[in-house]
Amino acid sequence: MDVSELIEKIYTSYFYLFLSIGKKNYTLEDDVVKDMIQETFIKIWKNKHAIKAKSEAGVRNFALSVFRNTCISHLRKPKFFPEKDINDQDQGGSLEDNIEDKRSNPLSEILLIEETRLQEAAIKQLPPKYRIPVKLSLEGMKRKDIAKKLGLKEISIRNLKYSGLKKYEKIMNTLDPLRKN
Amino acid sequence: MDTKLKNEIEDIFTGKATVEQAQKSLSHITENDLKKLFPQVKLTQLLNEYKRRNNFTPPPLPHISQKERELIWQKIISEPAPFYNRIFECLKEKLTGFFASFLDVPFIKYGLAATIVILVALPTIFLFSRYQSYNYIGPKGKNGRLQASLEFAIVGPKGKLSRPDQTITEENPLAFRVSAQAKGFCSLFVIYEDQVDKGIADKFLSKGIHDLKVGYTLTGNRGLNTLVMLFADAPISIEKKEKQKLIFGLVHNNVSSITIRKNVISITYQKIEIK
Repeated sequence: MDVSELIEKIYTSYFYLFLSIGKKNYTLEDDVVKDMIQETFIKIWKNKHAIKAKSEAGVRNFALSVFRNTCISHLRKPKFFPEKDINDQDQGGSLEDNIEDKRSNPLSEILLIEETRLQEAAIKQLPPKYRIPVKLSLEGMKRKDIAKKLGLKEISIRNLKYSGLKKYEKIMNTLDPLRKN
Repeated sequence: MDTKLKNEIEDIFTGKATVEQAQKSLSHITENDLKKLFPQVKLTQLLNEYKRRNNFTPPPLPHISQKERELIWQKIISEPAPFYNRIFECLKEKLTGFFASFLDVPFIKYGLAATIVILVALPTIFLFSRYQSYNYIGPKGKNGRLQASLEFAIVGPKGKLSRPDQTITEENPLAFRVSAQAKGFCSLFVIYEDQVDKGIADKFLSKGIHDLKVGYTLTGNRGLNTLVMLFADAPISIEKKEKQKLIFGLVHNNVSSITIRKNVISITYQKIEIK
């Protein structure tokens, strides 16, 4: 199986894993997660010649780390539009959401749990001043609310979030031994 | 290998594996491997236990139809890769195809391997030998200068060198103290009446001070204006004739030391007066 086929296989088999990570670990909206998945796979597709991994598992891990970094970059970007409250999100399709279909498989569940563990470990390793702002940002809390909760200025939270997520990305990549592709 | 992987995955399920270890183990595993390693019932049991311990709740996911996923995929693959990537990929495919058919013939396979070895080895040997040949005093000296100096001495009764300024008699074997600033070859010439009479030493010297006891005496036809010169050989950038000219020029002008870059960095000579 060549790299193109492997990428396609990863896309089809693990689409819901990516979706779950985006939703659970980065609290992204549905459309944003879809965009992130698309962006991730475009990056991989464009640079497929540079992928050293030759196995399904290798390419999957590479895709996961690219996806992780894409999500973090998205969170670090300054928002020019008012942030949406996560409670306002459309929770439509709930009937289908609850159906346990082939979206979840044992491996995807393990990968999702381990991703969460990885995230928690990375947050723990952050310098104390960044820890809470980053954690709350990843949980989807708005900058304004974080500022209110921590009793800090909104601009301070923006800076802490920006630098903190940068550090967080670095730590995540160090903790994941497969970053070398 | 299977047992090792199985143990690693079990460690993840039981919570013994660290985050890094878990990531490492999961990087080798596919869904099929997981099915092969654990019977369905045991896998479900382990997984449930693992989920409970980690308080796992699946996030509410939107339903994305097969058609929508297909559309996203089409968008992904329709994105053109950068030009250089396309060229690289094309070349890779062509070359892979070429070698795949080419290498079926053993003779060509080994011939090709031998050619590659020769193509790599020969220039390496050549460069190495060139490097060795360049390893003279000169280029190794600081500031690109060949730095060496020469003193005369007479070999005393116990083979020790006497004072350099002591007058030399015809019978005394000459010795030369050379101070080399870098390793390399050193040549000594005796010049008599403006002509190079004899090369009396040609040695490879390491960095430091060396006493060259060459056993050369000035008996016979040597007299006034006999010069002994240190000539440190170096990668030639000046023709041999040019070198000779330089030497003779020095003799005529009675220069006691000179520095010439690249070729002869330093020449120090003294006029010998024989009793």
